[in-house]
Amino acid sequence: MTSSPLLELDHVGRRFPLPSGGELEVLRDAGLRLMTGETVAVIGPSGSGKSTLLNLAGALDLPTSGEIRFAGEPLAGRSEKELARFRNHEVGFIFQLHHLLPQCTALENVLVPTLVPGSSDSGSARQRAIDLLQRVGLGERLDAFPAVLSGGERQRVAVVRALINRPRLLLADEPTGALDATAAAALGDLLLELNRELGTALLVVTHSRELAARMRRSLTLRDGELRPTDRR
Amino acid sequence: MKRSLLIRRSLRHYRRSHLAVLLATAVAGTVLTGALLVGGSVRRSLDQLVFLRLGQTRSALVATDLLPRADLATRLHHRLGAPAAAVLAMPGVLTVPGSDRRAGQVQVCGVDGDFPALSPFGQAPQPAQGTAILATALAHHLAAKVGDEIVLRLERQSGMPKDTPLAQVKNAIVSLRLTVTALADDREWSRFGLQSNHTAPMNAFVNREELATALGIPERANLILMGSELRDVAHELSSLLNAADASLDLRELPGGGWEARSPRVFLASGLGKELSRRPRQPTGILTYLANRIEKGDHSTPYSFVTGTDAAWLPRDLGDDGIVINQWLADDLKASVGDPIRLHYYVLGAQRSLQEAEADFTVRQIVPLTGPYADSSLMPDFPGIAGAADCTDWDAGVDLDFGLVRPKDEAYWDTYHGTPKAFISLARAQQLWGNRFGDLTAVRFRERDRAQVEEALAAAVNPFSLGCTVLPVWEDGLTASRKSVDFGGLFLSLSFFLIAAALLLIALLYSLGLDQRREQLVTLRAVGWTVGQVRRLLLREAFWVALPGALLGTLGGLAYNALVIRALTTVWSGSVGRAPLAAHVSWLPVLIGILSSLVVALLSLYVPLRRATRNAPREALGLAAKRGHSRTRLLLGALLVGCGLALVLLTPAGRGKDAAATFFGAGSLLLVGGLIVDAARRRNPAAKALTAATLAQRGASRSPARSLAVEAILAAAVFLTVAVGANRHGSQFQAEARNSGTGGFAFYGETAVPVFEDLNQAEVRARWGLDDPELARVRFVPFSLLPGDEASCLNLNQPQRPRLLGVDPTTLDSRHAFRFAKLMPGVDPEHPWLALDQELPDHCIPAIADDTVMTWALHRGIGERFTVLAEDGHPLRLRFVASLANSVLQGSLVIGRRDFQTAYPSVSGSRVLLVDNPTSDQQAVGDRLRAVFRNQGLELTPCAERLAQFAMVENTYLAIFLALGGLALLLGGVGLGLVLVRNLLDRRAEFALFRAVGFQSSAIVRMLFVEHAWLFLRGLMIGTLAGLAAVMPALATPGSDPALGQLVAVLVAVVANGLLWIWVASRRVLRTPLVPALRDE
Ligand SMILES: Nc1ncnc2c1ncn2[C@@H]1O[C@H](COP(=O)(O)OP(=O)(O)O)[C@@H](O)[C@H]1O
Ligand SMILES: [Mg+2]
Repeated sequence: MTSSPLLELDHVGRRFPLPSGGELEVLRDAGLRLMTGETVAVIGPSGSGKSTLLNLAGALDLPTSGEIRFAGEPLAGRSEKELARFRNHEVGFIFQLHHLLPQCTALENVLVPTLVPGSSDSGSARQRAIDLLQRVGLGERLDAFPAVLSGGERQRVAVVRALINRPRLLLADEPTGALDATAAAALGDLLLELNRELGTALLVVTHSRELAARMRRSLTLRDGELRPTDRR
Repeated sequence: MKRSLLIRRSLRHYRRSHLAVLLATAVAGTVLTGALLVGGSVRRSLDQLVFLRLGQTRSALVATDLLPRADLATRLHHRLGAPAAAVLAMPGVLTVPGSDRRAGQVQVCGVDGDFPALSPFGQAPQPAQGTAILATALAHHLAAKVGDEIVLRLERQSGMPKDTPLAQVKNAIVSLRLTVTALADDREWSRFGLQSNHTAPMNAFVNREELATALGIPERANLILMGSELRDVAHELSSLLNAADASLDLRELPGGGWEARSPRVFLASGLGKELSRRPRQPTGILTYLANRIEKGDHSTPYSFVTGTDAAWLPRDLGDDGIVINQWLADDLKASVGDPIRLHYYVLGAQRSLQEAEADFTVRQIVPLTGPYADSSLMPDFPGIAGAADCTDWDAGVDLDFGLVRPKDEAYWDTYHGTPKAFISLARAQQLWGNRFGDLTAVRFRERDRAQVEEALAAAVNPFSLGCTVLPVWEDGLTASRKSVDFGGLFLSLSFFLIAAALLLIALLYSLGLDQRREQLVTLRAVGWTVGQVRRLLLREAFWVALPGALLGTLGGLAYNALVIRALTTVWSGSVGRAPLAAHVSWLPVLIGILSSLVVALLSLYVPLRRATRNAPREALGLAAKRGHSRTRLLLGALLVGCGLALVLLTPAGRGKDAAATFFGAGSLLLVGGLIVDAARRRNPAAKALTAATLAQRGASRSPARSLAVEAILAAAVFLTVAVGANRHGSQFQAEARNSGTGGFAFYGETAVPVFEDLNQAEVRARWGLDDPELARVRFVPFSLLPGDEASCLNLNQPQRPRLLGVDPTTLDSRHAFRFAKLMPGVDPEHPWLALDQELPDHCIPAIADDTVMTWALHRGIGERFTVLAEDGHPLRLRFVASLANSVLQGSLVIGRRDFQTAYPSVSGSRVLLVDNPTSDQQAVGDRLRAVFRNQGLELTPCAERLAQFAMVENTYLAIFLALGGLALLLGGVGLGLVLVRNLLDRRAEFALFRAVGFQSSAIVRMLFVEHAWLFLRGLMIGTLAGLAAVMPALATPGSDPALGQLVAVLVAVVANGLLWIWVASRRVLRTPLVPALRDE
């Protein structure tokens, strides 16, 4: 089921201006090629730029050098509107902290991506949301607010939210970082099952060796570059 | 799911922080809507007052010299169909016999049965003979009630201006003893009056005919009120006025033809001009008294001389030709060709007569027969015309009867006042013409009386009578429309309060957003654009701001009611005790809602924008944004520099400049100071880490928050300081000539004018001013043209301000008063003398108080202001100088000569400035009041009068202070919220401090230092900016800031603030810290 590259990063660099006047080079020459339906883990020390990399991949941020292509099409040069549409349709984000809206129920949180002005909201999205929530074992908790959900449940809602628009790419930034071991393992299972069932490519930033090991490939971010992880 | 659901969910979930924003919006809305409503209320109240004052009256004919017959009103009514009423209104003195109750400035209104037709509500006083109806304001002042006997004293009106040469002023006061039969209130037209003042006039209504008869002018009125607009009456009036209205008597001449003459001796000058334009031009006559006619050593006393162009005189008399009769030729032993000299009186200032002379050459000697023996050429000089004997003359001037010889008596017995000499009319008018006229009679050749009457009626119009017709209704409305704009005033007074409220909105909203930063990233991550997120948040905020604005409207209504109540009670000083009522209209409410909605959304958009900036990390607030603090520092410094420059460039004063500087420089300094401070805070730099610098770094953690709190506090303190510094102290040097009192002890105003020069020895003796107690008291008299009060005590914009005429040398020699500004070319050593200068464009030089010019008349130095002369012609004044805060506030001052030319019928002086070199103010004041009892002298110590004016300003400042207090309250709320939020946000930090061994007290101290620091910096910036901004006003000579009070207030504010910060900081100890550590 793989063959064509879904996400390509070529010599990507990202620098941030420092208040002192200089610049902080977080990414220098990061290269990555992610095939359709492929699963990749990115590991690296804290502060090495993993989140930055993920933000770039999801078009939340733009690189200062290099090129990012999605399904062969470069992201550079697209308008904010096109980028937003890209995020809406092609990628799903999962953060370390669930980032659910506390004011909305589980179901409503899942539907937030369909609220984007201009997106064709249909009853089907709602049904799909319910199906997906049932699929992740939250069928009973559709109307629960995040405050009453456990950490693992919240993160599962976040996963469903990421999947609601059938993205081809799922970006997860330390998704298990705030979970205990059992919940973390369950979430890992879920992500891989979904990958298998839906064919969604997975780019996971993680500290967890276990989770990284379950991905097809693992890369390490160091000194602003991505290298295959030494599996020792 | 819909977006609206998301918005509803958010509104519900974040209701607490939204409620805070809503309340802050309501505060802004209250202040905004309230200010607009207050403005509307004041204006509506003033409009209402115009109605209460004028009723159905639209225009009015005002006569000051020749009074039309009262039945002119009936004629007008018949012609126009609209109501008209004749009124005889005069200032008078009212006393209650057997008590010492008296009112000196009473407006006595003689009214008749036509009066109610023009009243506001169809009801008006209609006093019967022997009775009076008092306005409640007057009755209250006098503690008079129905059934009381009262005595009214008024100036006698002989129909002759009191300053007419050769006229007498004896018996100048008339008293009327009347019974009060009723009191009139607002509904019964008690506020009747033509002047645009909002104070209730002290009206006493009496029977018009009774008053007119008592004053010696039966059937005359000086006001004709009309229910028609000016444009409708102007033409009709001219055709309705006739010879009787002009007080012209027609008598048939023995040789055929008719003669018109006036009981006031001189025919109004306008009438003469009008008549000379008639096709069959009548013959003008001017006959005058020569004290002596001399040829060499020969002299004839007290003879009349006639100037005329009649056909029986040689055509070519020219300027120096004179025709004398045989009797005079014999007496002087003169023959044709001889030089002859005439001595005669001309009128100087204050009724002082000066002798002048003119030389002639005898052209012809005529017999005492035919036209040359016409004794009717002599006008009816009162006291002379009917005298049986020369020595019985009672001309009100000094005549030396010792000079009268038996042959003179014989001439009088035989020929009466038959003139002994004749000159050309032109020369006579040049010598004896005066401001009352330059003809004593006009002769018509027509034999038919009707023809003559027609010719006269055609010549009589309001102009030639010296009357003015005024659009009083329009004037009244203009005055109230252009009145002090309380809406604008309160808006500008609330400027910094509104700014504080908006900052609070921004602060509260950003505190709320802080809790939601991650959401914003999420929304973007799932495909929302930044713009879409912002719009979503704005829509949500709209539903917070809208109820806030609506609530603000309710607040505004309450504010309106409250402020109007305050303006009629505790703050009534600022509105001159105007009767105001709260009015509500839709427009200001609508504007208030919309504008508070818009400003609220705008101010919360600032943090909203910040929070949704591009990079997700920044949006999450994780990377403290490090702006270019150097540029910011520069920008702030630049603003401060501009502010200071503005302060330094503004000339000292309290005019518009100073006000503009206050707001302009104030804002610049505040904003600049805050930016500099914020920039410095962003750079806590590489200072060594101590407990104190740790605190500073704490404050720099969320710079926007700290900045907002600091700004609110600074704005509030700015207000307080500015007010305190501007406030007038109570003590000033009243004795100094260059103070606002001019060094005068008293300011006095009389109801009945004083005609004589009170500084002259014989006059003083006559008045009883020569006893030791009063011997050193001196007077500076002013002629007064009543008009709209122009001081800050009148809310209306004066349309026809009061005018004072003064002999400038009297003030110049005293170096009285301090001048604020002078027109270029005015001698700074003798500014008063500028009143006597001829201006190149024939404008009349005028001087007024600086505040009156700036705020009431909207004029600057050198600018023109037009008033109406007595004859209705425009009189252009030019302001040559302005006074700094003087007791003359309320009037415009012009030179006496110009005054008399423009207002010939205004005689005597009604305003007196009194010099009292003795120390006993009280006793001298009482004595003077007694001396001028019949004139109704109202005497106010100058210091007291100044204090009344200062009270207005101080009341404004009190209002300002109250608003500043509110702003401080908002600042306090802001600081409190930030403090609490900081505590919550940083519980973990504090827990950590304790975990690593800090004592609790050290943490409290650190917190205290951090917030006290913020508080003090806000105060400091506000104080410095406030002091700098009021510099120009402070530098005004004579200002006396209440600095002690100011320092006291500041100390109280600081102590209070620090106390609460300390209390709040201590509370942190009570919150359990361990859970906080675990949370994170
Ligand atoms: N918007 C930003 N501005 C300045 N510095 C940033 C910004 N975003 C990230 N950084 C810096 O880039 C580095 C990498 O951050 P991040 O990608 O979050 O690391 P990781 O996720 O690997 O822990 C950090 O040092 C961080 O301070
Ligand atoms: Mg990270």
